[in-house]
Amino acid sequence: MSAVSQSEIAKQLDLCVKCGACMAVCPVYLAQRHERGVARGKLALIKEREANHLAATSGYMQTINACLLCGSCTQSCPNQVDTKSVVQAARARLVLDRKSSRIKRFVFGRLLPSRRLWPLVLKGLRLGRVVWAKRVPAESGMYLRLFRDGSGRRRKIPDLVAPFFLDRKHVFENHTDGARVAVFTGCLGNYMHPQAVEGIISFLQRNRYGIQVPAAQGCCGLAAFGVGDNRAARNLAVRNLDALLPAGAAWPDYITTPCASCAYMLKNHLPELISDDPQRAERAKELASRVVPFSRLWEQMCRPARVVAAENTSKKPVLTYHDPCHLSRGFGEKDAPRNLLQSLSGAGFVEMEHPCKCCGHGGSFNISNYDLSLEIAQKKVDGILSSGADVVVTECSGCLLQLLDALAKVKPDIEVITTAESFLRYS
Amino acid sequence: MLERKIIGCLEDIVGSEYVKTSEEDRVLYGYDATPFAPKTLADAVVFPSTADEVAEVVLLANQYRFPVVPRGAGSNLSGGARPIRGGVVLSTQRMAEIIEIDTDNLQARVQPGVVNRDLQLRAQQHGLFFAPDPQSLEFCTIGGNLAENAGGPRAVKYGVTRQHVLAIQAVLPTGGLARFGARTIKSVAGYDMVSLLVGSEGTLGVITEATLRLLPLPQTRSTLLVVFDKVEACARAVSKTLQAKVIPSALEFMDQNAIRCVEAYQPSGLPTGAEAILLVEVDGSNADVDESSKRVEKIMRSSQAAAVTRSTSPEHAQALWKARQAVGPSLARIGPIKVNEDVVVPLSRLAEAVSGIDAISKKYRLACACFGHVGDGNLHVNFLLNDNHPDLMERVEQAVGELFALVVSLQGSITGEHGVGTSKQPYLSLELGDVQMDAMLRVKQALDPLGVLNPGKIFPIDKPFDQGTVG
Repeated sequence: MSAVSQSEIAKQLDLCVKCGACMAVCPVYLAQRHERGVARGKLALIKEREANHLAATSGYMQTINACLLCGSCTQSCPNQVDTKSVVQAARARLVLDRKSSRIKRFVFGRLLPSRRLWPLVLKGLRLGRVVWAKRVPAESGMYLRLFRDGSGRRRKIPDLVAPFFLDRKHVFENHTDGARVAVFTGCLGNYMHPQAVEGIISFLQRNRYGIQVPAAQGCCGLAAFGVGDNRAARNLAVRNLDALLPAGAAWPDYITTPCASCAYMLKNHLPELISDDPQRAERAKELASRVVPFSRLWEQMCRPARVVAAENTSKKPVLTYHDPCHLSRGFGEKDAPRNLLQSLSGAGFVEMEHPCKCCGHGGSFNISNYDLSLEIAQKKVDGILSSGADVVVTECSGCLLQLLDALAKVKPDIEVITTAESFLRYS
Repeated sequence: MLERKIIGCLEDIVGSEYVKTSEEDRVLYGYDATPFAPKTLADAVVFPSTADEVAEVVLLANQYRFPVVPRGAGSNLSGGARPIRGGVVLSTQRMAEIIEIDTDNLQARVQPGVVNRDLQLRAQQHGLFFAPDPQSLEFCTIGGNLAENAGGPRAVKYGVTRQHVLAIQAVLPTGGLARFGARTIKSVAGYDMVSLLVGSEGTLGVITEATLRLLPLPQTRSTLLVVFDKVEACARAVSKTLQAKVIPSALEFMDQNAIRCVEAYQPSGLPTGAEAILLVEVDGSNADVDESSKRVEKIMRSSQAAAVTRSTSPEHAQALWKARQAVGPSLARIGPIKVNEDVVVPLSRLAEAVSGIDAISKKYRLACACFGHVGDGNLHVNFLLNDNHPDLMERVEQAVGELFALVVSLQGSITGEHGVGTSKQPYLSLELGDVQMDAMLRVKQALDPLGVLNPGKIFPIDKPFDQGTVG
């Protein structure tokens, strides 16, 4: 069930020559300035651990958990060492060895993937927040994680929508002449930002494509995969595969989603996770070949001749774009979202400084290293503020949550939305 | 392992949170970028924040006799930052402040942990730059640059690190805090201790502050890409360029194997039939650059260059440099294990060196690619391996031995940039005779009688560390 084979991991570990090039780009290292933070350090420890020279101490686990999986190191590495996969495999081993945090396993492996439990918990949390926040002792880890950061500031979480997107009745005007597109909402689209899904649907309708929103889809599983819970991730992979490409039914030509991290999970990790299931492996490859992140789909379908930035008049809101790691490095896609934003008649566009730098969310990283996560986000916030933009657009739910939380602490009136929502609003 | 008592003393000096002894920290600060180095572990890692703390740590080391290994970014390629005798690794990561950029005197005063790139960026804001530009400048530290006397492509015009250090503050091996040099271009008061400590690989002092020369950023630069069918013609062209009183700001060389590697991995439009290419960069005022580029072009054409391309814009120049930047990653694709030697020869012997290296790689049946800062005679000879099979490694070892003998016979040096550390120790006597070795050893013994600072580097020193270390 491991996503990447043991021999591949060993090969990647041997490829690291410890030159140190990752030190120049690793967001965690640049914040911590300790060898623990950086890719070559993590690889060195994992290699020691694999050779059983090092125990799974709490220090080891902290180090392995303190990786954003952003892939910046691989990009600057002369040997292109795939640190992300090695770290994920090391986390999976911790889960198998029952070393990882039980709370984390429960939250990311069970709670988050569940379409029944997670919404209940979220609702409960929001309702009980005021009461509970007073009752739960302030030193409780749960309290600290969910409500406050180290300096006592509140964590900003977007409101939940009722009913959730996938629980609503949807009637689409379905065109049979064009390509058929299945929409994967992702947790953000389902629970918090249905506008993102509506943006995609509006785009598809306008261009007369066939639309499917399979109701049986669930969480993409990246959160579970990220903490090393490959079993939970695999269950979700099976569920999503059966929902999106049901055996014996007509398959969509494309699968798109407002979140590039979901897209990356479906395209890359899903087939890896079920490669050992003979009944599904082929279908998983079919699915992977159909996954296209929203902005890329927009570009492919619209084939904009050449997007010229619209004249910026003072009345229009100004957008800026943050590159999610999974889109810019994962899919190698930086142009499509920018072309999309610059094509919007209702908004202006401005680049921020270092748009490709990781926002510091990193899924579970944000939970286990909240202060560090915010410290990394601060650089991003500085860039956003000096860009003068009114709205930050991105294409990843993790980035969106992170930027929203980080901005809420300094300039809460700056909005954070997805590319799909920007299409809905400003096209 | 260090006794608990000593760890306690270290904690008193730098604060308990800045003394690390966990298994992970000992692994993490036990390596540097040296290939094929055996695993080494620190007993403890300390992160001092001031020169006084560094001095106290070194004093303690003298008292209890344990090794102190100074470490910057740990990007060293010859084992300099490895705690081969255990003891304390002293990291400069917390001493990373650019104290001042003195635009009146064109100087910078920095702490040792400052990353070279960060200094470059700060200097640029004032229209200045720091000349040393090792390939690792994005992450290596100034302290490491000084300790290793680092050089880079710009050395052909601007020299190596030593030429850009005016003064240093350093903790000497017996714990004294000394200031050497002056904040002036000239100073002949006593021995030139700055030059002695720069390049001493952490064996004669821990540099805690440096006053560096900055230079005005040139107005403009221009790049020429020159292709040669014959490598001998290329070597002659290099000499002719310098004889013609044109000093390029970079003069980089790639041999046929390097070219083919690049084309296989990241096609850059280089002719794979060519035996060598040169990348020549000239900098200066607009008029100077125009004049020198024309002269270089003329020299190249008269030296049987097959093709000369002159950059028409900064972007075009960048595109021309792409091929050179792709060499490292490309070689990794061909043979992920790379034995990289940084030999250097006088310019007049370049052609002999190149053909000699070719003969050696053929003799030992090794894939070999050469590239480097040929303007200063520095050649990076890379033997590329797919695995580290013992037979193969033995062939490499013999080839390396012959390579060093070759460069010494050509009046060159076995290491231009990377330092001796541990990896070049076996070959040092090829270049240095008994008298020279003895003089150097006596300097080391005079300054570091107990041998606490980076023991076992440059020269094999066997002094027991009976009190501080066990086993």
